[in-house]
Amino acid sequence: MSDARKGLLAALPLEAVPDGGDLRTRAIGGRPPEAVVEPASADEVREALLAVAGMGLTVVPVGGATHTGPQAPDRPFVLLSTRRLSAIGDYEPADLTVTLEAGCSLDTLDRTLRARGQWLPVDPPLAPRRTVGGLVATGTAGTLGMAYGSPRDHVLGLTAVSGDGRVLRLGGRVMKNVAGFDLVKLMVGSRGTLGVVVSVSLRLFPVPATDRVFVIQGASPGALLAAARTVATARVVPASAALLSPGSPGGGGATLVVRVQGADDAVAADARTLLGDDLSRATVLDGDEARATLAAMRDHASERPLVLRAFGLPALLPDVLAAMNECAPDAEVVVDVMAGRVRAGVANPDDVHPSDVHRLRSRVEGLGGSVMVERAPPRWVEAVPAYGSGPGDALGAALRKRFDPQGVLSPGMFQA
Amino acid sequence: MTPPLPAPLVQQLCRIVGERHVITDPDRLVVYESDGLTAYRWPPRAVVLPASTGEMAAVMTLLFQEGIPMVPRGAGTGLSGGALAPEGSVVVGTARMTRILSMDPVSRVALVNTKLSEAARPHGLYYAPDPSSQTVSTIGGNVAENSGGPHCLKYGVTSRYISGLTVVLPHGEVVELGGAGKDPESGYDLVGLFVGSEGCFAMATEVEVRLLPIPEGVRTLLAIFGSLEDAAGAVTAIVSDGLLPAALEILDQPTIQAVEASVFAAGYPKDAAAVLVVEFDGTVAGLDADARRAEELCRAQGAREVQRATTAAERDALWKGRKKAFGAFGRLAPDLIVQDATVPRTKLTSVLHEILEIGRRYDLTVANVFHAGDGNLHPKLLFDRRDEEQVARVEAASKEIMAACVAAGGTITGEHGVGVDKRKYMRLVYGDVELEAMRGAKAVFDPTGLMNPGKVLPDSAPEEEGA
Repeated sequence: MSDARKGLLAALPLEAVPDGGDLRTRAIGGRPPEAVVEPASADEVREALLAVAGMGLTVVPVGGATHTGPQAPDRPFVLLSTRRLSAIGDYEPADLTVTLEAGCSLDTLDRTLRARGQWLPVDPPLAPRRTVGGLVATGTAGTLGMAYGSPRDHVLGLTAVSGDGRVLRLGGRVMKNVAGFDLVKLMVGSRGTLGVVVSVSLRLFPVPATDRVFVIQGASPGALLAAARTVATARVVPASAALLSPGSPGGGGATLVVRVQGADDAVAADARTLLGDDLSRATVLDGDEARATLAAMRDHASERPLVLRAFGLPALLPDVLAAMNECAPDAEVVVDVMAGRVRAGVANPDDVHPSDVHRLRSRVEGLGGSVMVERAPPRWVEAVPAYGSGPGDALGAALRKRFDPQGVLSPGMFQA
Repeated sequence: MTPPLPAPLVQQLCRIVGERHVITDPDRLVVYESDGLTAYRWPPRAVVLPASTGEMAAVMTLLFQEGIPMVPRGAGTGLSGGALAPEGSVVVGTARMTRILSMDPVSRVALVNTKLSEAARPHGLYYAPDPSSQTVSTIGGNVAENSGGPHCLKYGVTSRYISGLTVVLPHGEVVELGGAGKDPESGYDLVGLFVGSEGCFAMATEVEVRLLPIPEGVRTLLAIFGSLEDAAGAVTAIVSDGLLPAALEILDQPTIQAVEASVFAAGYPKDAAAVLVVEFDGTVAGLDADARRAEELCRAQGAREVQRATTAAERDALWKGRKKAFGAFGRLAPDLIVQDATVPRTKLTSVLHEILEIGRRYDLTVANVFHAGDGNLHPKLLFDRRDEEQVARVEAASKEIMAACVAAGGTITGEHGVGVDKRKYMRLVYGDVELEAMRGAKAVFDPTGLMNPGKVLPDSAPEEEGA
């Protein structure tokens, strides 16, 4: 038995400190954990953090482990899984709110909500395998973000345990709340560096009467890009709109996927507004077909070993896309047309040299945008910082110190 | 009485912003001694009005070096006393920083100092948050307070529409936070943290906002009810039915009567116990069906009549009554306190019942006009501040109302902010550990505590609150 596991067992019940099996299979960024801990309450999270700090180790909190990278922990760590924190607590459909534990999967949540005609409008890559805690930690909205807001807008409150073991109950479960400084927003997207998210209260939406997908294929890349610009500047906002490089879904050429929701009549009218003459050659999908296409769109490029993200103002999308194509010409690419986000998945990381990414970053930053490495082999992360630097970094580092004075949480994540 | 600023400092400030924009004359300072929360009057030592981020940074550097507390101020319409100037402080205002700096209709973002107003309209775009003060308040003030408004139910609050900020830290350093061109997942959400910080972190000088296309159509209904509870029940019925109105607003009988007796008369029936304004917006093709369904649900909940605004003028009148309701009370009592608690929507009926009961017990007129769809209550207590005994009753009733809202799972403020006014209630919703974490966040931006002191957070020792 490892010393780390012994130390945890001294502080926590046996159920919370599983054997963990072959720890190499739980490696993050190529580095296996010293032990695994599975707390079942905020208090157990606190005990785990204190025990780990006492041993001079660190903690990496993990939900569905879909999005642990790209940075590898730079110190020995204990993997904290939210697996045993998975209960859906208060669900009051008439309030359009739910309070649940961080380890609940988005898939389970979605099924629970849809049974009552409601949903959480997020579609981050690999969504079914993600947990609510992971969603909150990464802050990833997916392509629905511009129409509905991102997780930062949906999280009404949360309970998190800071690096030094303080159990913080932040925000609430009401629609509007300006009592005190908004530490909830700070926690959302903080990648497990400020606290371990234990439970979350979310704002929900009614499932729209009609949810329809329009797929346009066979046009030249230039024509598709023009159609995408028309969608992004139309006088209605679609639920989502994405451009996909050839290969998926349907196996054809480049594709524009536009999702429109609302009352049936409104969806028909909005589709005419958004697509104009292109509507006549769009494939219209509903139900299971629509869901399959949306899932393919959502996950396109994200399971490749190297995933790069470039972001810029939507008006600059053609330039950002061109820069990405030059950096990773053979990548699978998905473009969130409304947000201006370009995600590229590279099947063979050797095809892209780290210096190409440096060049991409300086080009896109020159346009006022940013580039991040979302997923990469360990050697890559050493050669290219996962995130560019920004003017708020010093404030961010100081905030991190406030919430995790000893540097126990997610070592190596963000600008460590 | 606060001593005036030393003459050499005044001269230096004048050199930065121009003599006319440094106000030290007590007669002219009167304007700045209170904000929308008129029950308090705290005269500042001076008011400085820079015209640019550069001037702001120079002014703040100087005040910082002198150790003088700074109070940010936009239009001074805030309802929680956030722009009140504590002893010894200088007000730093954005009144001259009103330019639209850029407008990108393709990316749908605009960079503004203060008033966004009509600039987006020629592009078919608009800025969604619409607090009742929108015709006079500034974008900087809206950022500080994370303002809401009637249309949050569908569109969310200010924070959703702020993509980037230029802020001046108290020691004068200029920092750009976020930006619509930056990947929001590439670091901490400092913009999200900053919005709603009530001027306690730093001074926002430039604000980048997201714009939305103007909805093609609007349908506005006015449902008239025989009881406040029925109106609240209709709100729950509409939301539970899967409809997503842009706004759901309730006015109770005292409010209706005050509005109808004022210059803002909107044509609300004076004998109604409550009216519910229901508004849908979006693509015209879907609107009538939604409006019909909402009408059915209102009638099923006991509405005696449901009117529909058929012209823009009728709609404007309905909204004018709602948005000016606050001002309409001026005829009924010299003073009023408006609260801002938010409760889970399903608790509206029981909490309203409690509020009315508390009003009766303290023999006070309580008027309710509120964002029902969000559960954001605005009970107004009418009083005369010259009557000390009445003031004591108002304070006791306020505290009970707040406690009732928190006990129902709510919070003490949904959109007006904590300011000076609700510091004493912060311990109803947060413990020492959360308050300390908030203090820590402030200290990162403002280590010396010069930004808007005495606001939001209660003093460290609970016994000092005097509860």
